[in-house]
Order: sequence, then C-alpha cells, then structure tokens
Amino acid sequence: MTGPESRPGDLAGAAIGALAMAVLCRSLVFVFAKLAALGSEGGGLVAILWNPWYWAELGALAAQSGFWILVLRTTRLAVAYPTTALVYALNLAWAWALFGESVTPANLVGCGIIVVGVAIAATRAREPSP
Amino acid sequence: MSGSLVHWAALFASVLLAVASQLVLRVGARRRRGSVNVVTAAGLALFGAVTVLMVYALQAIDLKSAIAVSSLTYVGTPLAERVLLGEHLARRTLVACHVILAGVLVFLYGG
Repeated sequence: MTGPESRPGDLAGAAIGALAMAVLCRSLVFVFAKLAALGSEGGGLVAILWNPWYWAELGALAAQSGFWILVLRTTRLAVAYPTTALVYALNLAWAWALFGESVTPANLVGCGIIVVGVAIAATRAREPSP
Repeated sequence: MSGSLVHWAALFASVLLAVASQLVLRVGARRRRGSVNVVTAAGLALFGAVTVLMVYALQAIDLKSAIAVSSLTYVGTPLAERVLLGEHLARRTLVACHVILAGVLVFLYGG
C-alpha cells in the first residue's frame, strides 16, 4: 500500500475494504432495526427483544465496530471518519429499494446537506507536518 | 410525515440517549484501567436503550425520516460536551451543527 507518494495514515489498500464494510454494516444496523420494527409492530419491549432482526441489528453494530478497529489500525481517524457520512446516503437508498419509501427531491437535497454537515463535523484540521 | 407523537418522541429520545451514552462512555474512558468500570457499563446500557427506542420509533416512522433525525447526534454531542464537560467547541464543529440542522429541516419539511 505504501508507494513513495503515500504517507502513513492515508486511506489506501486493505483499509478501503474494511472501511466499506464498516459503512455497510452501519447502514445495515438501520435496515435490521426497520425489519425488527416491522416484525414487532404493535408490540412493546418484549416483542422487540424477541425479534431476531433486533439481534441482527446488534450483530451488525458489533461487526461495524470490528471493521472500524481494522480501519483505524492503518488509517488516521481524520481521514477515515468523514467517509462515515455516506451512511446517510446509503440508508436513503435502502429505504427506497427495500421498503418502497418514496424519495422526494427535498429528501435528496436534505440528505446531501446532512452528508456534507457530518463530513465537516467528522473532519479535523490536518496536523501540521513535522 | 408518518408516525404518531409517541413514536416521534421515542425517536428524539433515542437521539438524546445516544448523546448521553457518548458522554458517559467518554467519562468512562478517562477512568483508570484494571477495575470494573461502572461508568462504561452505564454508557453501553444507554446505547442498548437507544437500539430499542429506535426499533420502537421505526414501528410507525419511515426509515428515511428516522435516519435524518438520527444525524442530530452529531449536533447534540459536541453541544453537550461543551455544556456538561466544558470542552472546547471548534468553529468547524459549530458550522457543521448548523449545516446538519439545515439538512434535517430540508429533509423533513422541504416538501
């Protein structure tokens, strides 16, 4: 991964795959939560806890944490963290494709603004070169 | 927008609890290692409550709307850190909070 042009901590190589998996797992947390909600509709806490999709949600959270640790082994947080903003765009796509939710132009614009805002929040000023 | 008032209240409560869990986990991370860290356990328990509240909210609220509202944790966490932990609030973070808030409003009320 480290060519002569690259710097330690830049996003490259296996970290990209791990980061993609972390973002995918984070988006699946919401998908599984929605499936758990559909499966426990009208029920309370017990119905939610007994729904297998709820445990799939927790599993996706655990998997996301695992992939995130892999990412941070090779990549600076300041480089990797802003890409997590993509979760919001990905979940809008899931909502439309898997659950038939309508996506309006305002949803697309709002989602775009949120992604930019989260990316700004997650980006820290780059450290000065030594 | 879909969903009853109770489900929307659950959704916003999940955001508040997510912010609270972030703060508690941060406080727990500062504690000494080697002992049972009750604070960290409390933070994880709060996060567990967030997952249940989110499922409850999604019983009546669209996935797309819930996701948009959940982004408010990026607004609430730095503000709570500033107010409760006295941490510095960078100008970049303040800008991000306004952008996210604008995005959520456009998403929910933009038509």
